[in-house]
Amino acid sequence: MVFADLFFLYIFLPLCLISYFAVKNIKYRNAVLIIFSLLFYAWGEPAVVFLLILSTIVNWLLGLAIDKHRNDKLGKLAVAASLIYSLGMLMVFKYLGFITENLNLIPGVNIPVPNITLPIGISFYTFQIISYILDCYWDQVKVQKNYFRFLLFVSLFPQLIAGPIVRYSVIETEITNRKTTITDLSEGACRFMIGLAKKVILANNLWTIVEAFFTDDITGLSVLGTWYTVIVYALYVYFDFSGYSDMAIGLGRIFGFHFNENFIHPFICRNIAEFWQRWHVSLGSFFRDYLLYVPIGGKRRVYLNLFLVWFSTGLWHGASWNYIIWGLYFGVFILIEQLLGKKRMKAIPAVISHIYSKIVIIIGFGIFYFEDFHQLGDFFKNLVGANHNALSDTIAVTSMVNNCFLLAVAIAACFPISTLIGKLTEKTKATVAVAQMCKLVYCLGLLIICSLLLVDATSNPFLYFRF
Amino acid sequence: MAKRDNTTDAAKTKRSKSDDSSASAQRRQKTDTKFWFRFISISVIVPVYLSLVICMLVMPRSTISNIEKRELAKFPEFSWESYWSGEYTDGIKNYFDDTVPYRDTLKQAASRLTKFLGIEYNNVQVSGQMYVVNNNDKKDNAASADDKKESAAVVSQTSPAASSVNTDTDTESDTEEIKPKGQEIADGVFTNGSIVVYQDGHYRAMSMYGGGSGSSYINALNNFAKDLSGVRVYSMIAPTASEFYTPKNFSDYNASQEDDIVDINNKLSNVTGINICPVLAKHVNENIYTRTDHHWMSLGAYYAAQTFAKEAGVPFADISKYKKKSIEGYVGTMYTFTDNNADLLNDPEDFIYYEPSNNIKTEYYSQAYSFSYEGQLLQYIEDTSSLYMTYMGGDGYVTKISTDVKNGRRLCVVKDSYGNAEIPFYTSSFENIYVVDMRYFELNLVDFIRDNNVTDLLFTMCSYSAVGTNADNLEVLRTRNSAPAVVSEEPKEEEPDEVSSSHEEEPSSKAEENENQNNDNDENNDYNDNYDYNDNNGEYDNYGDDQYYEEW
Repeated sequence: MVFADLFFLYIFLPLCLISYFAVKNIKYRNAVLIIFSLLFYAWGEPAVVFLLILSTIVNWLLGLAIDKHRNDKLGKLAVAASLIYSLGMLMVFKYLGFITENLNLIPGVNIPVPNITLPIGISFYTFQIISYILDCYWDQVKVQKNYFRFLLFVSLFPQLIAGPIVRYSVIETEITNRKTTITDLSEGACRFMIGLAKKVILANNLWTIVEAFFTDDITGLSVLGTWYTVIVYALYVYFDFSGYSDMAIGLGRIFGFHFNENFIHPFICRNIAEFWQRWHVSLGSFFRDYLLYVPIGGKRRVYLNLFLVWFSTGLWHGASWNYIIWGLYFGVFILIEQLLGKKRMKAIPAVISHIYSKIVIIIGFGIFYFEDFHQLGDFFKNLVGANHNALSDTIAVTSMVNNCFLLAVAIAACFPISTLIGKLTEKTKATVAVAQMCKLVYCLGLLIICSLLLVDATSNPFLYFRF
Repeated sequence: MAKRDNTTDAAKTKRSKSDDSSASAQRRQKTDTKFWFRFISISVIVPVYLSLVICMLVMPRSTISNIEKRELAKFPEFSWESYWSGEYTDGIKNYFDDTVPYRDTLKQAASRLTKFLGIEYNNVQVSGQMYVVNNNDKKDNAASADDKKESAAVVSQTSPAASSVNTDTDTESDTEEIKPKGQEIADGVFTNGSIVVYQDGHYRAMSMYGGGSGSSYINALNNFAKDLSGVRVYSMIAPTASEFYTPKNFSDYNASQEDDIVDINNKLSNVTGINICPVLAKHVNENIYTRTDHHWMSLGAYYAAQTFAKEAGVPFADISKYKKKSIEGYVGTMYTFTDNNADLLNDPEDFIYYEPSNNIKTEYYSQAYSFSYEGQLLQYIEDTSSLYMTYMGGDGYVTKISTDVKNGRRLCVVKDSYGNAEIPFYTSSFENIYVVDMRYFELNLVDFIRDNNVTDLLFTMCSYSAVGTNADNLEVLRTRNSAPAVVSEEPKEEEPDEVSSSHEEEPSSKAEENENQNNDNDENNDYNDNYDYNDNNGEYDNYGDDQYYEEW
């Protein structure tokens, strides 16, 4: 099931909310959340939900073992077992097809490529489990002795299938002790509706543009058309994914959980390192904490770890070479920025650093889009007009004018406008009142528009489902 | 090391969090207003949301969509198999999403909302898969660089003059294209390489033409002419509707078909190239092209056939000698090609065709030329979206027509589906007509023409086939070693299933039509009493025209 869906919005969610707020005791509330979370997951994956449950049982037990044998070999063994289990799961369900395909490229090797469908959200919940196990082992968090609380942490439906990757430490106390305040409820609901609008109004409509221009054969696309489409695609990915994170964070707040921010206006960054501090923060910080500082590679540690982090970041996004290239591509720019040093980076005029970072990011999204290398090659040639393609074409221009308001709103929404409005209106009571009322009307309006558009839409899966 | 980094980080996040919450607590105490407004917010959001939920649940669910003319999803039936595959839960979700109360009204409201995405540019809206107009193709492949320069120079010289002429009068000149419709601006959408425009009170859908050199077409035809000395060879490429009806504001999406046809004709040797664009251009205000299908109407094919007959020097019967037939409620293939354009679906047209009144005998053969059955030239087609298959039931068979004409002329028509509509008009011009589809014929065409003593060979197909990959097959037809015809073997069905357009019609009108058609059959069926079309009906259904479009 996805959030941007009438069935979720008008049947699943109200049932869940009513059941949740009908009971007062936190135990029952947790039970309600577990039941609805498993139902939510099983709705799309009736069989694979058992894999999720199995993963939670195995890792809960291993967590207990780590706690008990903290200082002896068994503890280390338990950590290793858990990591092997988690990474093995990912290997089998996500990368086996990719690995065999690549092995088959070696002459003489001919392994049948298995056809395994990727269980929804496996990349997200597996990473949550890994972070829990490592935090336990490093004594960052107390082990969770109650299985159902652990199950709740892993399966909590707001973040289950498309992130953010919530750390156990973030919601550790809130699992047993949380309250939904009026502020939480109101802010959470508004946040959810804004996220929904990002997905349904912006992302879905941006996608129709991308789909129209990035077809199987892009050789005829003009230079302008190629740049236009890849920019639209970058905006699409941002609104699709950050919209989902907004909805997750909003829903979490309604239930009294406070997740960390996952997107902090990434496109206003001045360099690539900053971009990754703002884009999909929960993934970036995961790799930073659990891979970057893990001592592997001796003297050349820094470079090897940097390579590993960006290789993994790429690979995490999909079982295809273009994602790996995409990850390493960013890694290279981050390395260059590191070598230049913070001082010199700061000395670069703002205009230049913005142009530099935006071009790198936009081209990066082109790499992200094209899984096929021939197409990717065409894409690069198209960007500079090396495909005998025209500079501009009527269809692209028409599409731009046809979608000018959409594009203007999308670009404006990349900036922290709501924070700005909040600051401007904070001065007097009257302005606060007006701002709050406007926000209310605005959010409800968005809900109604989204519902209408959802009636019109046939299908609109989230992009990040694949990961 | 790793531990320490992690610790500090975790500590930092914890600290910043507690800072955050205490700060927000302070702020809350300071400004109660914000809190109270949040309280008001939530006391508005909750009832609004709940009433929306109640409306969704309590109001009667929609069962059919009038805009899309389809039945909406039904609640799925439970089985463990469908449950484990996820189909059942998915079905429930789809049922709920599809059968929203007042669906059509809401959908229309939503489509009005999408107008706010931007501004219409030259009255054009683009959507669906894009399509590239390769105006350069032809020049790259065929013409030399000098030619290009020259033609460019000519254009730049003449265009100011030409445009000034155009604005004043509809003057005809030899080099100027006559496109009365092309001078207008019309509202429309561009979807998947096709456009739907509103012209003269109706919607018309057309596939845009991308252009091409037709080099393999030229090459194959010239070779045919070499191999078949003594046989008159003609090429009559059929332009598609976009040549005549593309509004001015869509002209950038469309290449000129006449330019390509003239180009091809100039490169043919010992082949008579016929350009029917000027002929059809004179009749654009008549019903020469379907509005809802990618083919032409019978009348367009009539004018083409007339031009060919004149060129070939054979008698030709005026259209008044034919029985005009009309079937209502025709919405052809363009509906599906335009992602089910609702405007098109709700603006059906009449399918009009002409039945020869002279005595003819029509025999159907497999693609390897073994006899299948004797039937009617114009067949009854049940599915109104496939009415273009009226002509010989589509492209599934090689057709041999014997007429009452005695002039010693025997015609072989090598065609794609466009040629089908011309065939009835040749029945008063030739003794025998052999109709061969250039995509599916399985024998050596040169041998076939020799064996049947064909005197006239006509290549007639639409511009897409002539400049596209279909034309590659012509050389195959000429050079292949064909096995001798296997007697009494049904043609193998290789095409994918027909793309069915999900279009419904009222049962009553269908029954009426059915009856009319039956009567027609009886009237004109003097010579093949044994023929029972119901037996064969299933077979023709397999040859939808729809899929051929993809091969263009």
